[in-house]
Amino acid sequence: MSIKSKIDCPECGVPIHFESSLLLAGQAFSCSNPSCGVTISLTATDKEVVSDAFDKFEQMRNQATHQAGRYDA
Amino acid sequence: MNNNIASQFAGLPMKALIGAPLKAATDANAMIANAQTQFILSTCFEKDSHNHGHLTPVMVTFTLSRSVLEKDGSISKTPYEMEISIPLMTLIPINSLAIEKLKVSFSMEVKSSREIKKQTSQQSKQSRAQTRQPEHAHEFETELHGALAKSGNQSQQQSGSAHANYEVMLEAGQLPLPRGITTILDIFAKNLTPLPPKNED
Repeated sequence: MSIKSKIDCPECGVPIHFESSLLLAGQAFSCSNPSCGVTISLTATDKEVVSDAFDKFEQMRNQATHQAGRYDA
Repeated sequence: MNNNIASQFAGLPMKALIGAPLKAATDANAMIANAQTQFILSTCFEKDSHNHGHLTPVMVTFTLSRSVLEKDGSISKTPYEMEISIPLMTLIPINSLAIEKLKVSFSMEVKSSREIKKQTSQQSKQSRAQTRQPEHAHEFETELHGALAKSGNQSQQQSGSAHANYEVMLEAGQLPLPRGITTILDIFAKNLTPLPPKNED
């Protein structure tokens, strides 16, 4: 499952929205400020670190959801 | 009668009915927050062995691309690329794991009614004529427990109805991120300064 997130643009501070799966696939994401024109993409060298972090986050999220579900029951 | 109906609710554990779901949600939230903290510390930071085991943020490198102007004022065909280091922590939506809104809503209803029906004088006369029975024999009482249905007849209805309704609605909102985390995120965000690659002039 893809995780949606955002980071602030280093140039103008407006958020740059991205999806984890596309980011890891090497896609570049543009700043949402139309007059900024900045795009960012993850370098191949750090792809594994980010992928590992997203996997762990997803795992934690599933675990938390499962635990919360047990509380409901 | 209303007092009697209301007294039927006296034995209900209202504290448990309202508090239990809220406590379960709070516990789940606390558990999620704890898991997130452990995740941040273990994944987004690494221990610095040279600095008494202090935690330093894990940085990941991004390529930043932007258009630049040429000397003649036109936009360059090849965008200018730089490398930026971004803390891994800022990429993860850490505040998305929380119970945003909790709504506990339930209603209880106890309804009891007693109906006394008396035939109208005209109906009584007709009935008396048909059956030739004494007048008092055609007056009768009915006692019902439950909801009353509307009827089109002209019979006189005397009803006693007791109705108690309890509706409890509880809302719990999400607290904002702790000041410490927002400060760290602010510092990280303000220091995302693009730096030219080392091999450039």
